[in-house]
Amino acid sequence: MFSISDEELRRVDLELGRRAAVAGITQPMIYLAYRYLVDFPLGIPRFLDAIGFVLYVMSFIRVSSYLIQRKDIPKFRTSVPWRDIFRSSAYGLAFCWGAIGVSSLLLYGGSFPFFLAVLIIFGTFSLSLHSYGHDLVMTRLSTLLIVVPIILTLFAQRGPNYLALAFILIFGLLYLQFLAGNAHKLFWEVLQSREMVHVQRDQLTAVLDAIPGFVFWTDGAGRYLGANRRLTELYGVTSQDFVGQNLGSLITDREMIKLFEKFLASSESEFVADTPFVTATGSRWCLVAMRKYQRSIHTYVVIVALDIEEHKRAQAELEAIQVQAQESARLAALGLMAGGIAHEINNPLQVIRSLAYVLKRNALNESKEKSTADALQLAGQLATQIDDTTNRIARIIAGLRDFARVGDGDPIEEVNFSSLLNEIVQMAKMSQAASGVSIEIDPFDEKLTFACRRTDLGQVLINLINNAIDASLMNENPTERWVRLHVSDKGTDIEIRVMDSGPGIPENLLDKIMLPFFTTKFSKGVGLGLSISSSIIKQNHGSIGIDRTSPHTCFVVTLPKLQNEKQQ
Amino acid sequence: MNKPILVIEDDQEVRSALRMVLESNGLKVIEASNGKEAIEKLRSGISPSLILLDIMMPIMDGWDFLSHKATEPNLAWAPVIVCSAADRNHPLAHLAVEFLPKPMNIDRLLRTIETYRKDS
Repeated sequence: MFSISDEELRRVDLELGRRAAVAGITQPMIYLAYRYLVDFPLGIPRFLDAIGFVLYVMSFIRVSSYLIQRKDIPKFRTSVPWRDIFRSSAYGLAFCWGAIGVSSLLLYGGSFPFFLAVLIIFGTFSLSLHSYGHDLVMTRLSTLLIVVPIILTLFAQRGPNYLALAFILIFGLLYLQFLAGNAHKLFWEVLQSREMVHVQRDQLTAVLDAIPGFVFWTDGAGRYLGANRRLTELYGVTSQDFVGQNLGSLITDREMIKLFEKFLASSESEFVADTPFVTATGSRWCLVAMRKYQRSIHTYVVIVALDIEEHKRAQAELEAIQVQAQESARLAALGLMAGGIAHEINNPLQVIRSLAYVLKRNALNESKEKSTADALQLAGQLATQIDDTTNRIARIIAGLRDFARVGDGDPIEEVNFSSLLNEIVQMAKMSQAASGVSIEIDPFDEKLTFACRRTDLGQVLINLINNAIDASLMNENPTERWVRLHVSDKGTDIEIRVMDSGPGIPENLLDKIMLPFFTTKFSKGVGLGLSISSSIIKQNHGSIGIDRTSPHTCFVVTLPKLQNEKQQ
Repeated sequence: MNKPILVIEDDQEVRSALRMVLESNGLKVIEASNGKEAIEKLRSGISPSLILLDIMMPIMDGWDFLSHKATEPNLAWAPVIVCSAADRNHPLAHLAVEFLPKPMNIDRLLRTIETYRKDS
């Protein structure tokens, strides 16, 4: 429902008719005045009557030609009824014809065929001028070019006084033409503006109705000025039912009204929020946006409420899926590492077993081969080594426990990057796949620390390193299978580059690899590693991408050194 | 007589623990930290009586080592005991004489070494 009604537009039409009428009536009045003041020679009055008549005919023709030309605009015909158009133009015509009728027929008894002939001649002339495009100057000029020499000639024959009168008359005519021209000009401008209002109103209505939500606008006191169709249909009302009413007459949601009143009272000019919006059909999540605008001293407010219920639901589902996927990926990584984990624990167990064997043998053979002191010293060394080795196993198990745990609730802590990276590389080496791949860390500042969730970053790094290992295994030369990690301090950020000696990622896949469930290793993965890494990095306000200029595949992770706990 | 035993193992602690075990039993030991290093040592003329081979190693893993060794007749003769819980159904598994998963029982390891060691 648009606030400018057809009724108002009709009023504009009628106003235009009145103006045309004013333009029409000024000319015959002046004409009648000079007709009584001047004693014309025989034959002239009738001619001057004809000239006067022509002026009014031209008014008529202007209105008519306008109507003829506007026929090609369907909007005009549909939005304003023909009877209104005729009614408005009839004002002007009635005055013209009335004036002509009175001045000619009553005073001189002019014949109708004569008027008709003049009408046809000047009408054709005027129309041809109009065909140049409403050139009012040309129309006025054409009239004066005909009238002025005739008046001058006729008046000059009667003496100097009459010549002076002729000049006054001519200037009077010029002035009247100017007035009439202005009226016509105004007439055209208003008609064109009205046409523009029509078009813009239709466009705006279409836009408002196309918005998948509720749009309404009010004045500064919160009274409705209009609403889009979706809202009025929801409440089954028309614009007349609520325009001018208070906001509460349509919107029954108290919270929404409170929100609106608060915004109205505030100095803010804009407000946007996600909020539940209770409508006639129930509560829906909406993105509500309000905006104030000023027109002279008045304030108006536009309120848009977009239904984002589906979006919210989808978002919640996506978040749940992401959590699950993260969990699955973690478990999948643990599964892939199972063989490696066994290897990693069996190695220190092997050390313990071997040392225990030597210790036992040492104890049994002590008298034969070594002095008691030497044997005891060796026993001490072996026991220390066994103790160290059990610590090694404990560290591996602690690392695994950390990795398997969900770290969402973990605090952001200051992490020594060197120790974290070494731990992660150790973990990566546990993977069965890492066999035959050398993993190197380029030297960097071992004191480098930054704030992050340890488990989060660990998961990202292990994903990237595992991917790099898989890629480098595709290198046909077994001695050229490597993964290289490069860490650099970029001031406020830390940059981690993970490179591999694999064959590289095909150009056409570069844009897809971060997508969930996209994988090139069908038998080994489900395609979640990079998408999860990407979402973790985003949560930590960092970025992840590929350095396309690098000769080898190179993933680049950038993370800010400082994390704001509140943002998490 | 008493040719060395080549221990191919990336874990330095495991290598030195095995060295202690073997040396305490009067066996000589040569170490290599990966398959590539082992192949180079073998090519340089070292002639071990037996090879103890780990599978998961960087640079060149145990399987690659076995396949390289098999293609070079000069290196092929030394028996290999795989010291790992590796897949016995691996296509190259036949290139090893025995599989001993870690942590190996030392007595069993020594018995197996005695069984397969070729000093001549």
